[in-house]
Parts: sequence; C-alpha cells; structure tokens
Amino acid sequence: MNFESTLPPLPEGSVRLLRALAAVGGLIILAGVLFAPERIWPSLLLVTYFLVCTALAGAFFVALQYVAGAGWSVALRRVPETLAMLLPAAGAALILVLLARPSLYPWAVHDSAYVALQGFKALWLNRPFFLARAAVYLALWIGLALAIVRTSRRQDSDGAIEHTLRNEKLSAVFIVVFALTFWPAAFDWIMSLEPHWSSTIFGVYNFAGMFLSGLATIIVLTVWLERLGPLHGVLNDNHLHDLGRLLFAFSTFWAYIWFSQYMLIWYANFPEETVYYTRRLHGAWQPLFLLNFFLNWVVPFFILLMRASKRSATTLMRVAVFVLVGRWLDLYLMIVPPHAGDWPPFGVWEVGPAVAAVALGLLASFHYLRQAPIIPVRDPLLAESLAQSDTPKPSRVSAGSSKDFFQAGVG
Amino acid sequence: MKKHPLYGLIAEFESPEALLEAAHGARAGGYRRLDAFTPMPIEGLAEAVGFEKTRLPLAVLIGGICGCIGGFLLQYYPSVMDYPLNIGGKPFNSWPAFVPVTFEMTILAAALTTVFGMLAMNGLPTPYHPVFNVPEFELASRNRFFLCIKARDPQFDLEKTKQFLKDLKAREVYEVES
Repeated sequence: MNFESTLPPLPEGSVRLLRALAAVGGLIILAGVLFAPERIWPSLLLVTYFLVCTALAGAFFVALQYVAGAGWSVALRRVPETLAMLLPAAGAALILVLLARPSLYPWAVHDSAYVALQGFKALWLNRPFFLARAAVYLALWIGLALAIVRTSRRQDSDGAIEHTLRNEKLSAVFIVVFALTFWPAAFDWIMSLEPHWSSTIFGVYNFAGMFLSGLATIIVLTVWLERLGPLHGVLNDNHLHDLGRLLFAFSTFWAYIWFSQYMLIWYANFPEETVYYTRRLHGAWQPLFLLNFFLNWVVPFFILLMRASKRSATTLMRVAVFVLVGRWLDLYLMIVPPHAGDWPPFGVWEVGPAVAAVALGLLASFHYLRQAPIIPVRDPLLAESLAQSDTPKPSRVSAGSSKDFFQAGVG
Repeated sequence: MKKHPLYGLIAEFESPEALLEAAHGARAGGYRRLDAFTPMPIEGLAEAVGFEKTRLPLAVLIGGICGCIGGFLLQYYPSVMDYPLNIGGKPFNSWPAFVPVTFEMTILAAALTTVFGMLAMNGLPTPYHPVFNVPEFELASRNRFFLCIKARDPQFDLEKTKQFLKDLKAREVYEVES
C-alpha cells in the first residue's frame, strides 16, 4: 500500500455540485442581507459559529491525542488536522458577522425599550472591547492550532521525534488556552444575545456541543475518505469502535450538561433566569426543544449502546449525521428565539447559509487534505495505530494464519 | 456424569505467537473445549480459544434499568404517596429534581451488576483449579504460554490428543489430573 500518496482529486461531478451549492447559498445570503436582514444575520451567526466550533473541535481532538500520547488515532489524524485548518477562514467569517451587524446584540444598540445593564456586565459588554476580545480569542486559537498542524506535517519529511515532543507541549498549552478562552467566547457571542439572562454553565454546555459535533464531523469525513479510497485498508473496526465510544460518551456528557442547566434554573425558579426557558418551552418552540434532546442524546445513546453499531461504518455515519443536524438545532435554539416571535422561523434564510457553510466547508477540507499525505507517514506512533488489528473471527481463521495476522498490522 | 480422572492435557509454548498459532490449529482440528494461560494479555487469543459472546452486557443492561426504575421510585413513593410535602410550591412529582438520583442509581446498579456478574460468570474466586497439579504450570505467570485441551472435549483421546498437541510444536505436553 502506498501511504505517501495524497488524496486524488474529487470527482468532477462532486466538485461542480459543491460549487453550485456554495454559489446558490452565497446568493441567498446576499439576497437575505438586502431583503431580510432580521432573518439572515442570526442565521449567519449560527453557521459561522458552527464552523468555528467544528474547526476548534478538530484542533482540540488533535491536541488531546498528543497530550494523552494516544497511538490509536494517529492514522486518522489528518482529518481533525484539516478541520483545524478551517479555523482562519471560519474565524474571519464570524468576525465579519460580528462587525457587520451590531444590532444582533441588544446591548450594542440603545433603543428606548432596552433596560441598561448594571455592574460588571455593563463594563464587559461594549463594542470595542467585545470585538477586541473576539480578535484575541481567535488569534490565540489560530496561532496554536496552525503551529500544531505545521509541526505534524514537518514530521512527514524527516520523521524526527522532536516534532512529536514539540507538539505535545504545544497541545498542552493549546488545551489550557482553549479552556480559558472558549468559555468567555461562548458568553460573548451567544449568551449575550440575551444580555439580562446568564447561566454559569453556558460555557461547558457549548463545549459539550462543540466537541460532540466535532466528533461527528470527524466520523463523517473519515468514513467518507475510507469509501472514497484514501483511507481504505487503514481504517478498521477498532478505529471506528473508538470513535463510536467517544461519540457515545460525549453525547451523554452533552445531555448531562444540557439537563443540568435546565434543572438548576427550573429548581431555583428566578424569573430573570426562567425567561430563557419560558420562551423556548411554549407554543411551537416546545417540539423543537424536545427534538434537540432526541437528536443529540436519545438517538446516539440507544443506537450506540450496542457494540455492533459502534463497529459499523454505515450505522456510525448515520448517527453522526443525526448529531450534526441536532447540533444545528441546538445552536438554532440558542441564537434564534430572541430574534423571533412565537413561531420558529424556518425557510430559505435558514437553509441557504447552512447549505453554503456545508459546501464551502467540504471544498475547503478537500483543498487542505490534498496538501499533505493522507496519513502522517512518519509519525513514530503510526505503526501502533495501524496495528489496531481486526479481531479475527474464529470461523475465518485457519491454522497458520495467525502469523500473517501478526505481520499484516505493521506493514 | 462420571468424573474423568484427567482434567485434560496442557501444552507448553515459548512464545505468544506459537500459542496463538496452536490455538487456531486446535480449533481447526475440531477441538472445542480449550483454555489458554499466559503471563500477559494476547490480542486475539480469547477469540482463538472459542470465546465469543457472554451474557454479561445483557445482565448489565437489566441491572441498569432496575437501578433506573428503583432510583426513581425511591423518590416518587415518599414524595407523592407516603409523605407528600409542599416544597416551594413545586408539584409533588417534581421529576426533574429526581433525575440526578435516578441517574446515579442507574450507574451504581449497572456497575455493581458488571462486577458481580463478571465474578459469577467466570467462576471467580476459584480456590482449587486442576492445572496447578502440573508443577511447571507456575511458569504461566512468568515466561511460558499454555494451551489446555480439556478431557470433556468430545474429540478428546489421551494418545491422539497428546500427539496432536506435539504436532502443534508444543515444547512439552503434560497430563493434568483433576
């Protein structure tokens, strides 16, 4: 098997389809900005934040593997690395939304109906500081994430152990920086859409959703690359099993945090806190609120409970797609309600940006995937990852085959 | 059933590869009552000696469901039926408040079922095991790898099986008294 090869170009038809979708989505966004700004901007905030989170989840996944000294995931590392490389573009798009539409945030425009903030919030939430913070968060994430990716790719040419050691340090720094900055970033960008409301668990809640959907994206891309050819013969049931277990665990973690936020607010029953759920639990919003829990936890939990479904690429990919739709809905329920009335808005202004984001995200991912060998060819832990042997089924094994089986792994 | 005077035959190997190959060979040769003893875990060995599925996951699932229902009722019964108290104007059946305990009881019952179910199903603790009648067996915790074909195996025949194990390149074959 020739692992040195990079990804072959995508089939002409797929590229044309993705470009067409991106163009249509772009036109819808343009039309929305001109004709339906109050619908398109929350929608744009949603998709750009979604993309930033997906990219961050890729960087966080890579960093986690380095810090833990994990071997199993090395062969698949190019997928989360590629996601991390989306960070500059996604971050720029998010900054653009924050710059272009101050009125997304009630604290940034002072109309007569607005009750001014008091104390710390009044100091914290002002335009220049808000934008400066966003720039600092993104600059820190981009700097560290790209440094990790660059070091990993430098190892492709010389295979020196120093690159791994350097990335272990960078990853430890990234994780600490990320933990300290993602929390206030979620407060700034999402929670301050309703500035009078606050929930201290909101950062963890966003982290849980971010990593859950990041894992789902990694699963979808990995299985797709296996189907397409480049990871064929590399990805095996044990890799899938590990990815499936992570998806299962983080789905439950998300549900735990989702419920914790709800329960504490329900229990304390303070009007300034319950207003968040009152808006989301009544009328036509209620089914969406429950659907969110269904897509992000009920579906993954009960399907992935079985060992066989974690080891099946098709099942795992379907569950991952459910989770990604669930993540969109989760963000929709965080972002859109304060900008909408009794009826959840859904139509071309919500679908257009999502389609554009998916199409552009995939085109960019393929662009970046082709810049380096599809697996980290000279990583010292690669052999361990490839040797994640398929457990032989007794019926398939005949006498003498165990030797081949032992050697096949480290080919 | 009359007790066989022999527990089985045990073959000694020098490497995990040799043991794994022999285990596959014995399965292919039609033997089904196999067991293997090694100083460290060997990937694929469990499957090679015919270990496939256990009912433990099912037991854990049932344990978890019982813990879930039990944990909920433990709160529902006193708060709604036995001694209802009005707390902060909340309904008696304040199920969101019951979720943390229900969740923890699910985990506790599932975990206890896992540990005790595992012990019950693999027969631990076992104070007496015939393989220790072979003095060389103590090497199983050092640097030797053992494959045992039990006398209960329908295909077991003292001489033929002994020869079979020798043909699998066993370093030595011992008879194990029961």
